[in-house]
Amino acid sequence: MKPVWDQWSGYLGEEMDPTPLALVRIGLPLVVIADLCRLIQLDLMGHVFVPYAGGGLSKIQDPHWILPHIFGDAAAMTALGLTLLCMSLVTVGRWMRPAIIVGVLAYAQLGHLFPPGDRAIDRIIRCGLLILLFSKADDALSWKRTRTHPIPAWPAHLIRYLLVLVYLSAGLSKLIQQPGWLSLTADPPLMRILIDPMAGELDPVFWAQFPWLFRIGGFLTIAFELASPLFLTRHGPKLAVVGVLMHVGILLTMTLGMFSWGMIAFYPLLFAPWAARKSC
Amino acid sequence: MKTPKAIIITAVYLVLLIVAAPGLSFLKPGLLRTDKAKATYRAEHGVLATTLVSAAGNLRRTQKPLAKALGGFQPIFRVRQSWHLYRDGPSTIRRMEIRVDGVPVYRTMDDHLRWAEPIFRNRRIRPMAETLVKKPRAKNRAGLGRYIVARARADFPAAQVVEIRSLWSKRGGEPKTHHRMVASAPEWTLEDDQ
Repeated sequence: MKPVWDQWSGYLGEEMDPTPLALVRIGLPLVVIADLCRLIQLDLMGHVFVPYAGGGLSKIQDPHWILPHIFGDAAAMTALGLTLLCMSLVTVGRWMRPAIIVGVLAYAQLGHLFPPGDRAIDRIIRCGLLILLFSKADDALSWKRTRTHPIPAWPAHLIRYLLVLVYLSAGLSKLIQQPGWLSLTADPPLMRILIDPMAGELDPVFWAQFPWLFRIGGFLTIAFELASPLFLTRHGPKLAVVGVLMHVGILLTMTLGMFSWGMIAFYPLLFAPWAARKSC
Repeated sequence: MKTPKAIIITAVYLVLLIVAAPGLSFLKPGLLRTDKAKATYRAEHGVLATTLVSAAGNLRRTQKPLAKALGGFQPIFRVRQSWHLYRDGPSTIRRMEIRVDGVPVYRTMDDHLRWAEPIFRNRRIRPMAETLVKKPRAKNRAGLGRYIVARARADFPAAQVVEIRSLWSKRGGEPKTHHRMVASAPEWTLEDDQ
């Protein structure tokens, strides 16, 4: 047992160049800022982040929406302002830790206020930021300093592990709930997803002529998601190339807003072994 | 790495694995719990399948209460570990259509009817529009409907009737109105028509 523990402990004690973590620290909050700015641009703030009784869109608010007890009517704007401010601070690497704590809490409050618009990508980003809280991601590409010395790698390992859980769950849930993902004859689920006018960008009549294209895409998606544990090995960067291609594909064929950008923002960590090898 | 720190980080790994547990959340906790259920399953699927599925059921029965206890921190940060991303799409083609005084001004993915399209396609609003066209009694239809009516009245000041239709069709088939909501001047109260 002890050799296993020593090996595990050694793995957790590894160090790495701070740049990949710093890139994630910059990318994740930027995606959130861009998403919120888009809401402001569309003049939706006064409808999305307002309870139904006040003229808002959603009748459903999560019971954890507690800011009104402190800030009253200004709760939503306070949460929004804090989120934008803290995400900006995290991006530039200034007061990173307090900014992550306050920023994630405020961002979560926005989600509690408008649950229909708080999607899986918001949760993944918040998880990633919470892990960054314990990292030294602000040791590079930062307002305060730029160091080149190695930093503990365990937060990067943990984020990779989180991504494995996310992709593996997505792959298994597809197979368990819809075995058609592996079928050679059934209507390809990937086609149904991408030609659904409410979420996809592809013309349902035209593209339905090419089911084989979606069948191949579906097989590749399943293969990628089930192979995600490889992110934890030296083959991770090669699989990450497939992941980037998949997310670019989603970006071009679906209207999921920041989903692909948010996922790609994690990828500097998946490519980190290549960068490390080059620097050696 | 110092041992206490390694233990804490290892615990975080385990907590994530228990609360996320890829694939397990689909299994019902009652899966093959009784001998009778196992015998029925064995007769149909064989011994190996019964052993594997029974083990998965036991794992689920152990994991569920643990996940509930360990995941108590999740709502605070809104980070519930449940990753069921894009499992399937609908076999029915559904679109939202908005008419002002009987004239269509918006239809999902119609290049000629694009009134307020960036709003309805925005990632935060799109799920609401999706539910509205899918479920005649969608809980959030009133909020989105109210917004659509207010915006239509602002953009078309002479409007007398605003109608939100849910169009359903099979692929390549003619779309039919499945359900709709209508608001008329002067009250502008949204009414369901299903």
